[in-house]
Amino acid sequence: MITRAFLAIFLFLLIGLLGFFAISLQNDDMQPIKTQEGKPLILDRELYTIEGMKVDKESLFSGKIILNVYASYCLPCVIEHPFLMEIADSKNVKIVGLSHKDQIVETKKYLEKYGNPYDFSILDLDGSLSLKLGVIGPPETFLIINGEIVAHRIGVIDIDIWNDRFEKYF
Amino acid sequence: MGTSILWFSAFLCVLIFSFSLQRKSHNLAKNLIYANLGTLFIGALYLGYQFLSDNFSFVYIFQNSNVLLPTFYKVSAFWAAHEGSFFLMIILLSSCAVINNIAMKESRYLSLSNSVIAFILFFYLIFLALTSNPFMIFEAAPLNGSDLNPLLQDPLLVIHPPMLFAGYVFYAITFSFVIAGMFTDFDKELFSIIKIWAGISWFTLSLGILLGSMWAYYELGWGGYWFWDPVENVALMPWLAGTAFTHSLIFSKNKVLLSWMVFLGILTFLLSILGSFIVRSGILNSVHSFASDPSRGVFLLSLFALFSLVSLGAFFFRSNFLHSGWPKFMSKNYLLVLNNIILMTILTIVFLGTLYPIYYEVIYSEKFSVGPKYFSELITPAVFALIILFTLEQFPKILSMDKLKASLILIAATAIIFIINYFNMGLLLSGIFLATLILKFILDLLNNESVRLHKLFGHLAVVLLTFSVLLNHEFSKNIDFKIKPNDKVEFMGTSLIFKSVDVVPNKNFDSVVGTFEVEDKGRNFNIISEKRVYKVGSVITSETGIAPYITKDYLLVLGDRYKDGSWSVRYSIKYGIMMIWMSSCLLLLSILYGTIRRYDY
Repeated sequence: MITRAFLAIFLFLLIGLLGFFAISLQNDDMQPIKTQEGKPLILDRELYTIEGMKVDKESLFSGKIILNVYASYCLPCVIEHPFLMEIADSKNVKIVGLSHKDQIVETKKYLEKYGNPYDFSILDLDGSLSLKLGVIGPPETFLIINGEIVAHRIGVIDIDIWNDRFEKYF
Repeated sequence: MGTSILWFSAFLCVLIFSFSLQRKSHNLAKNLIYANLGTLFIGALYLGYQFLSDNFSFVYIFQNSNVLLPTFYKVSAFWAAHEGSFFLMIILLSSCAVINNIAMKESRYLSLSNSVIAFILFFYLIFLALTSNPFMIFEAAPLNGSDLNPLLQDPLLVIHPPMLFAGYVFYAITFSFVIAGMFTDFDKELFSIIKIWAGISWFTLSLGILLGSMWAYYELGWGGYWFWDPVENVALMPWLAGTAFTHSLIFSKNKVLLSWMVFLGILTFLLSILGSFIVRSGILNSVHSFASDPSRGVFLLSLFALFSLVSLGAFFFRSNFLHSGWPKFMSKNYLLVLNNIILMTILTIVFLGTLYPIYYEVIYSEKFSVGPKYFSELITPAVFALIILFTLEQFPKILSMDKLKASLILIAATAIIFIINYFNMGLLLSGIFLATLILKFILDLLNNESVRLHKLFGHLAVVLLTFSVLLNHEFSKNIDFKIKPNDKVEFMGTSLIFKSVDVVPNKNFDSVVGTFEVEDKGRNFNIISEKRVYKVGSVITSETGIAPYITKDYLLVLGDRYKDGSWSVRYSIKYGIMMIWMSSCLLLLSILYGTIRRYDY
């Protein structure tokens, strides 16, 4: 009898626990990663392109700019690359690349192989610029309008995410 | 090909399950168990071969390997992430079933145990094939992999996960026998089988936890060995339940509290599944979160629900057939019951502390985390209660006194615990207990009394472990400072000179090596601390420089370089770390000896 009473209580608690787990799993925002949306763009030092040219920073603070963080070692970047090419062709927007912790030779090979949708690519060999921008890892895409980050996608960008979060600014 | 191997094996499990339940086809079921292991083994060889031949069209291999990775780690990358380690666990479980079938030719428990294992295996395989298939293939094969997580490129971590998994797997075996016993009868033969498996699982799980703890200390560079991290806690929970279970098996001689033992056997297994659910679902944030994925969580939760409801339901309906008695007041068995109660209390403390954040998030939709203070403050008195219990057990004369005196002693013991807690005298007290136990041991040896070595040394190890942990907690210190090469720093009576810093290239990483010279009361030695930059993805890891001595360890972590050429450095002196490892090893050896010794019977 004692065993059964004990077990009944235990089972009751267990079912409660399972219920809690089930509810907790419903929360799909379990580990929310904060996007940089709504924050101003801050660039406090000189930037260079992968060709070694100095970047005109002022140009990044005016108008609509898409900043795409990519790298040759990043496989998801290859997946989103055709979509970026499409955007470059169809939308009237400046696309700037940010080569994240990557060797210049590798980046150039990558752009030769898959095509170059970027007006230019900023070099970020040690990742410090990405760190300032709040980048977690490539691929990431920012939409910057007049120096303000209005949309930020962490991960692969595709037509669905574009329509959902980026299209409204065009 | 790989995926079909998994499905075929799952199909075999269904056959094993149903054949094992029919008396006529037992032999067929046995042969199928061998065939199943063979099938899985082929699958493992296939995957292993792909790793060695750098076939990055496999998603799993792309994620965990790289052309530059040394061959040794290419092999160990097999179980570096969720998919492979779960696959390994399945292979282990089915090999255990094979071992059972070879070792026990004719046992009436065998077929029931086989069907329970097949039942578990079937769901594991489905889980593997559907949500975490290691054989998944890319449409376009990438040229190179994204490398094994650098933190995992360490010999200790090559064996830590399989050990932990092996511990879990072995508890599934004890579980299968406990279930088998529930539907037949618990006799001497079954108890000896359960005791051996319980001993082996206890040993492996302890070893797995110890290795993980050593890895945290040497590789993560946090300067600690236990952090009450959720993932550590979920490994600790089955360990605690397993400890209680192994102790409760001592009751078996006169079948005292049989149903309690059955309950613990089931609980241990369920906690190990709960462990994989919590680790793999990402329901809690932890250092181990790299392994998480919510879709797996749903599946594992369903598995946990299924296993727990089926086994506890069966237990509920069979409980009246389990004859159990109560132990006599203050007998040895009575102390064992107290031991079980205390272990369950610790388990509850860990359980609540680990899961409270989930509860809090569901109710208040806010993040919450439980600090180490909660655990250490609640668990320390419980550990002391345990120590008092087994010290008391060494003195049978006190126990054989009349009930009144014995209860007075119990009350006094409780008072002692509170005093220790209040005055923070744990260190002193654990020292006293240590001395008492050793003295008693020597006296017994001199009087030619029979001594149970495994028990005595196991208990001694626990006291020594407690002592070292408290020592570490009380005296360890660290400082952070900026230092230029050839500068000198004084700390806790030691002096530290930053001798040099060099860059050394390696196969898959480059490292910055800092050499330090430490002088402590005539003792003079060098410590080398490294910072590694891995070539793929530029991940940076710190290799802590450690000079271990019996009483204290000297730790150096090389930090970042400043523009003026100076470096940030963390220097710590940790007491008792070596003693923690040694007492844990003593505990492990006692468990091992206690288990092996059984083969004589």
